[in-house]
Amino acid sequence: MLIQLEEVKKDYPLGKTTVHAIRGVSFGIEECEFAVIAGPSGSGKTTLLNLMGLLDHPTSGKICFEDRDVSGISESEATKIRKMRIGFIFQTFNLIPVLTAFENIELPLLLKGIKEKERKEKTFNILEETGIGDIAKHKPDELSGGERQRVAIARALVGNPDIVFADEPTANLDSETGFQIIHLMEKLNKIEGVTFVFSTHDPGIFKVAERKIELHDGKISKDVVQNSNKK
Amino acid sequence: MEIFKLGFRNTGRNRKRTLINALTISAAVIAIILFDVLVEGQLNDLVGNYIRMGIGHIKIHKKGYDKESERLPLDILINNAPETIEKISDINDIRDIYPRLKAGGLISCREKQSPVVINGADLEKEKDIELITEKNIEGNIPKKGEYGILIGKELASLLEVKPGDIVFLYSRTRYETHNVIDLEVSGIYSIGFSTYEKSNIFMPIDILQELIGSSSVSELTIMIEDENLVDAIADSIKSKLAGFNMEVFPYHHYLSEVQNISAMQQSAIIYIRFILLTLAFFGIVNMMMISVWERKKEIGTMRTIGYSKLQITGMFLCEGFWLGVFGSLLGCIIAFFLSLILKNFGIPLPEELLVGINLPMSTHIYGKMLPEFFGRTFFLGVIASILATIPPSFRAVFLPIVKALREY
Repeated sequence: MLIQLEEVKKDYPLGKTTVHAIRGVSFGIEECEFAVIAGPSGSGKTTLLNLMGLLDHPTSGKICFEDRDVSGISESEATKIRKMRIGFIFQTFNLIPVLTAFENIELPLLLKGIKEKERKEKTFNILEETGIGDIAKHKPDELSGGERQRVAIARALVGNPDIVFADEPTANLDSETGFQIIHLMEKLNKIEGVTFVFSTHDPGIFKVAERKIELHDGKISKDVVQNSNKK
Repeated sequence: MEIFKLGFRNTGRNRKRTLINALTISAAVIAIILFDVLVEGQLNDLVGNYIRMGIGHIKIHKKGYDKESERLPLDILINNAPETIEKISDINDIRDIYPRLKAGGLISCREKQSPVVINGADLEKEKDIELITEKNIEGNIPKKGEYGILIGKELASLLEVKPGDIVFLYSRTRYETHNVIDLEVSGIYSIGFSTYEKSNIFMPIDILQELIGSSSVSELTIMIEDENLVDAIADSIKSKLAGFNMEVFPYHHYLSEVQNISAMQQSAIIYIRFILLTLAFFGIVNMMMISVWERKKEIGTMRTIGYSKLQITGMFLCEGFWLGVFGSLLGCIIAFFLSLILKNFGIPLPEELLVGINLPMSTHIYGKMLPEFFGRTFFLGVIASILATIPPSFRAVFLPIVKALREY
């Protein structure tokens, strides 16, 4: 099991009250899975992805990354794991505006300390693989939403992570571009064997995933394997 | 390296803000440099005036004279002045050597009298280098062999004399007797230094020698071509005069008062630098805080993909570095041109201010530019800018990632 959650809860203080964003969820993510976390807005999808991506600590419960308990690890340890083993894709693309598409994609490799020749080669390869070789020298504000999200996917994948978390990757795209992005992720999952966990509230999109984890009010209401197209 | 590049590029993302930040630094840099240039110019003017008020660049006395100089001794004189001059005249960079004789005396006119320092010199020869003969003379400079005297404006007013009037000058002689001579007031000098004007009178050296009954001189005043070589030339004079029983002093030996003023000014400059840079510091902190606020999400993203807190801090420090470089460079360039104006045209000083200050100050302050003003201030500007990015960068890195990512 790549990631295992056991009775994970997450509470946020909101003024004088406490918001129970995740109310005790337990599930696991296998290697090479292509799973979607579905649910309406406010159901806790982003919070759950943040917890699995080691961006936040659970209030209680246990999160294991490859059997190692990472629920209470230090910030620097979490940074190290994210840098080496996790990729992220965001709804609003979150590219660095002062860097070109190529440089944005190259960033994780720089952080890993990979040598220039290998870095350039890997970046060119992923640019081709994601179909954006022709926009390498463009800055984010010169790109369309779909192109930006492809750059974000390439950035998430270039460092060969074990798992990629995508928080509503299609929410800011039109439906056609949204499907292209999901199919690209699906293709990369099948070809590269990268584990994808993404969130969406678009019923059209979550049909594509092989596993659907439905979340309502911070609890898992359904966890089903719907497409057996895993290689 | 990537952090350095990112920091550089971030300065270009909001050009207006970068320009305002850079101008904040520039303004501080310009103010500091101009202040330095003016203070140095004033100091230079002061030292220059002291040098031309009889100190010269280097002085030679008979050994022991300097210690006793307050009593204007006539028993520690240079008896072999021509021989001494001959001995050192071949030293390079010596412009000229002026023998002088000093004595204490009493000047009187009708029922008014005043104690004075009598300066005997070849005033005609010294008129180009001596401050009192250089400007603001009413009347004439007494020539060699003339029974004339040059007195200060303040003393003239005290004695109620004008050019052409006769005064009596009493003095001790070399042989501890008293002598008196009547002299015509040839001219009245004015240098704006009232104490000096009140107490110093000038007359031809041969007439003073006649008054005190000696052909000796108190000192040899040396003017040199390059002021920076003063210590080296003083050293070579010392070695040339070994065995002559002389003492040799460069001008700074006599300027402890000016050195104190300089030290005071330097302390004031440190405070002014600190205040100006602090103002610039807070200006940049404010702007960078806004910048961090706007870039919260980007900072969150960078943290997500694996940037450490240290790397994010480094990025902001690099941004501060580049800001400091742009701002300080711009400030140095503008300050350079403004300093040129100050150097060539100067700033007039109000007359009432000069009356209150008992120093030989000129009526204008002319700037003096030194390369270290620019180098040091550039460095301080960059440091202030880097330091100013520390509080915003801390704000950036201590922001929880999830909170940063939530910002729109």
